[in-house]
This record gives sequence, C-alpha cells and structure tokens, in this order.
Amino acid sequence: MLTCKEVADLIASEALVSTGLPKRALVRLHLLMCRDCRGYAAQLRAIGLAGRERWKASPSDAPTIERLQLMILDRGIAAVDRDVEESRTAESEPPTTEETDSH
Amino acid sequence: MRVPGVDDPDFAARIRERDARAIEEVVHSYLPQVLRTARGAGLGPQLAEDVAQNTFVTFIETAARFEGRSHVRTWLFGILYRKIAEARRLVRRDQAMDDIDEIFEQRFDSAGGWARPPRPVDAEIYSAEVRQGIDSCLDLVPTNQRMAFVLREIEELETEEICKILDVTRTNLGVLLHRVRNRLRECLETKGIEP
Repeated sequence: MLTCKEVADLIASEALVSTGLPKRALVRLHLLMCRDCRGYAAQLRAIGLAGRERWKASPSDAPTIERLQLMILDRGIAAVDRDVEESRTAESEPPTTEETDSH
Repeated sequence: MRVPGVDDPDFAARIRERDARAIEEVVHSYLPQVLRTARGAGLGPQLAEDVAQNTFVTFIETAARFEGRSHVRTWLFGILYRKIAEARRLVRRDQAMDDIDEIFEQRFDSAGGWARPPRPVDAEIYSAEVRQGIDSCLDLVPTNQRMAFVLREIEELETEEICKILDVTRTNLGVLLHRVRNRLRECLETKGIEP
C-alpha cells in the first residue's frame, strides 16, 4: 500500500511514466480511495492550466511576430553574407594578423 | 506537433547549408513558441523580444553545426534556454529561498499521510485565481525549474525532449517539476489562493 506522500511524490515528479504497471495500478487504486490526494492532483493540474491560460497566444501578438520575423531574417541573412564574404577573403588573400585584429 | 517541411528527412542538410527557405520555415514555425517561452520564463516584453530574436540569429549563425540528431526545435530551444538563463542572471537578483523539499516533507505526518490535507478543487475557479498570482510566484523560482514548468505545462512538450533541451536526466527533470509545482502551490497558498 502506498502512502499519500509517496503518491504525491510520484504525481508531482511525473515519475509514474517510468515506473512499472503494478505501481501505476497502486497509485490509481490509492487515488480512487483518497480524496486528499485527488485534491492534490487536481490542484497541480489546475496550476498547469492557469499557466497555459496566462501565456496563451493572443491575436494582438501578430504584429510583434511579423516585425520580429523580418528583423531576424535581416540579421540572419547579414550573418550568412558575412560568413560567405569571410570565406572568400580567406581563399583569395589570407588576412595578416593585423587585419584579423582590426575586425 | 509535426511541422511540414521542418520534419522532412533532408531538412537537417538544408539547415546546415543555411538554405534561405529552410531558415525561413524554422523562424515562421517556431517564433511564436519561442517568444511565448521567453515571456513565460519571466522576461519583460522587450527583453523577451530581444532574447527571441537573438536565439534565432544564433541558430542561423551556428546552423552549419546542426547534425540533425535531435529535432530542430530541440536544438533551437537549447539555444533559447541558454539565452534565457543568461538574461535572467542579469536582471534578477537571486533570493534566499525556503527549502521546498523540506516544506513538502512537513506536509506529511510520520506515517506518510497528509498532515494538512489539500482541499477539493473546483478547477475552474481555482485556476482563474491562480492566474492572478502565478507571475509573482514563478518569479521566485530558479531558472531551470521555471523552464521545466514552462516547457512541460505551457508548451506541453514530451519529457524526453525537455530533458535534451535542459540537458538533464529524466530523474533530474522529475526533481525540477516536483519542486516548481510544490513551490507554486505553497506560494499561492501564502497569498491566500487556495481551493
């Protein structure tokens, strides 16, 4: 028989997934009989739900996302161009130490 | 969630070559999720945008090293996690915290029964109240615990992927989730938010 503490431990850490079937069955049995642990499990579920609701996508984010997307692609393309340019320079004339330092 | 294009077998190679269309697909597919995670991790609106942007730029800069052994999202979120940890170190003073493991222990009597049992929950009412207090309670939580909560509860990722992103074992992730959930529960209760 599992204690309430053991059941609460398993629920909070989601260790159930990796335990064997007999233990999962024991937890289920415990929950059927124990209102307190059912309350605890429901509380943790409600906290997760609150998190999802709090940070759920909002249509008002669309302009921000569009703006960020453009900025990222701009900076990303610049980064790729810079690398291509550098590899070309490296191929044609290897930079002297001085040139490398000035970058 | 399967993303067309991103989940194609040759996608890793296209990323490595920094194929413009492939990069665009990654940005398009994951920017909303990355931004939400940065916000959920407690960064202010401007900082969250900066971190999201820098995450993708680092992703593009390092794309040549992407071997495709993990999913592109896992790789991206690994970068995001490091940026968030860095940003949080800069803006947030570390606060002395109660030992949540100790507090959890004290909730039970010596026989392992509840010393003060949780009350039955009306999920909707309780959840609405939690939403009011969750920001300030999460602000007290260390970054790795908070990220575990965000990735598991808000982004609803599988535990296996979260382990790779946070670079922890399954047992460690269990400890992080255990601590953050109980810490939230205790913190909400001290604010008078109880079922």
